[in-house]
Amino acid sequence: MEKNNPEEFKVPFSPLLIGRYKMIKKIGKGSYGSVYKVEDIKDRKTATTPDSPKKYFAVKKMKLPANRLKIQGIDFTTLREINILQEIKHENIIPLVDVFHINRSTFMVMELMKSDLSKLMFSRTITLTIPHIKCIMLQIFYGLKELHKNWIIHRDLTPNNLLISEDGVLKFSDFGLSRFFASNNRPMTQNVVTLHYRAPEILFGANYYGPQIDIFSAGCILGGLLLRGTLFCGRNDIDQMSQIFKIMGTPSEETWEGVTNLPHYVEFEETPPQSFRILFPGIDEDLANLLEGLLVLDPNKRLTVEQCINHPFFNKSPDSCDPDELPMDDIS
Amino acid sequence: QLQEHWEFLVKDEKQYPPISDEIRNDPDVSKMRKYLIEFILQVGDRLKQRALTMQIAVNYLDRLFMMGKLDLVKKDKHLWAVTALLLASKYDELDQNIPYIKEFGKVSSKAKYTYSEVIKCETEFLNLLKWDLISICPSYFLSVILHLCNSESSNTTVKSQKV
Repeated sequence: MEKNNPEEFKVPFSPLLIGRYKMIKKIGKGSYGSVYKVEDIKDRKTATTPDSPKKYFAVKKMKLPANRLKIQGIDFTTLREINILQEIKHENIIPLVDVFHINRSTFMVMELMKSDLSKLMFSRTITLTIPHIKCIMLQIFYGLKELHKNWIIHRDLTPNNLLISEDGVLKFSDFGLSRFFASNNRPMTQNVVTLHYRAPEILFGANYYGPQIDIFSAGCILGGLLLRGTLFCGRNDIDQMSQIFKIMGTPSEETWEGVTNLPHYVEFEETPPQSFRILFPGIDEDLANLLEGLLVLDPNKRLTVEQCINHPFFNKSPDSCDPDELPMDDIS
Repeated sequence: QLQEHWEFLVKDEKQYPPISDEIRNDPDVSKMRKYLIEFILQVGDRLKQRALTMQIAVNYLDRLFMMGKLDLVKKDKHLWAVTALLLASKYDELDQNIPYIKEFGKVSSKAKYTYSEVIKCETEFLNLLKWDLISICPSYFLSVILHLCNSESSNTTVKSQKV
């Protein structure tokens, strides 16, 4: 049986996947697996002119479940990711081109992207202006609107998972933690969202949460774009909460109904909310207001994605730039 | 919001239609379907799967029947049923409630398959379904209706939400 045969878990990697995708190089690695750059051979053969440009894709090879006892076949996060990408076709969502399974690995073929938002956010040579920030945030909201409209919560919205194409179009990727929330009132796991972008209701162990958790993550991203760093950079759950509350104020039953009943609720030393206008001196009033709206502790009082898109911040000058005007030269 | 949800379901149901009467009433399919539904309910119940998960599993099998794959399923009906349930569970259940392959064998001797057998069937199943695990089940509609009833009456009936 497979128990005694560790070799079975190593995937022999033929340089030509299913006779079509030629491996070029490894371009990324994550908890989910590895990403490779590949050339589409089939496309090249069928092309009418031999000089037509080579067609490249990114292939994500999904890692196998680590614990053998937990073996459940093809990883469920992979299956969910594939299903969501099949369901959603949108400018700001990464397109899924092909899926196949060889031996014990699942491969997802996706469009090849130039970079991701974290590289832009943490770059020391790039200056981000207000039109740039508007352009980035609007694209995030357009993507979120499409997801939420289709009853999907991303559940892991971080700058790393927001890819950027050559012409500055932001694309959501990594839907391994996403899921449909169509049926109301169903308990969900709390083990979601990278800690630094996790909403307070998840930190407090809420069994029921909704698309508002993505909005909170978007707030952390906006704060990060202004700060050019991580807005709430906790070392663990408790530290993360105290960092959030230091700025947003500690929650109470008056400001967030039901908070004290959440499973992991702990009382923090009372601190009043701070204004973002003090935290970021010289910040535009509407921008501070948007940031506050995104990061409201009570999920029911948080802005909806519609409200974000229609927020006054985006309607006043300077206008958002076009995606292809985003500074991309130094990152790849 | 509920109205929106309802329309979304109606729209999606067209894309993922339930099994047609014609195929369901085919004597061979009907016999097989009846047997496998009972089997899925039994195994699913012992593995503490939600009712919805089992409905989804049945829906996956229905899709095979609609593709005319009755003979394929017949070859090893329990394996296909186990795989359908596993896929449905992976799609729908809480992460910690997804059964391990070996657990199937523990709750029913007919559901005892090795990892290799299940994963082989799983790959075949997924290719047949074109990796599309979305399905529209009657209980989605029911839950909207119940939600509607609940919000109109008092909060005391919230518990009846479990369909």
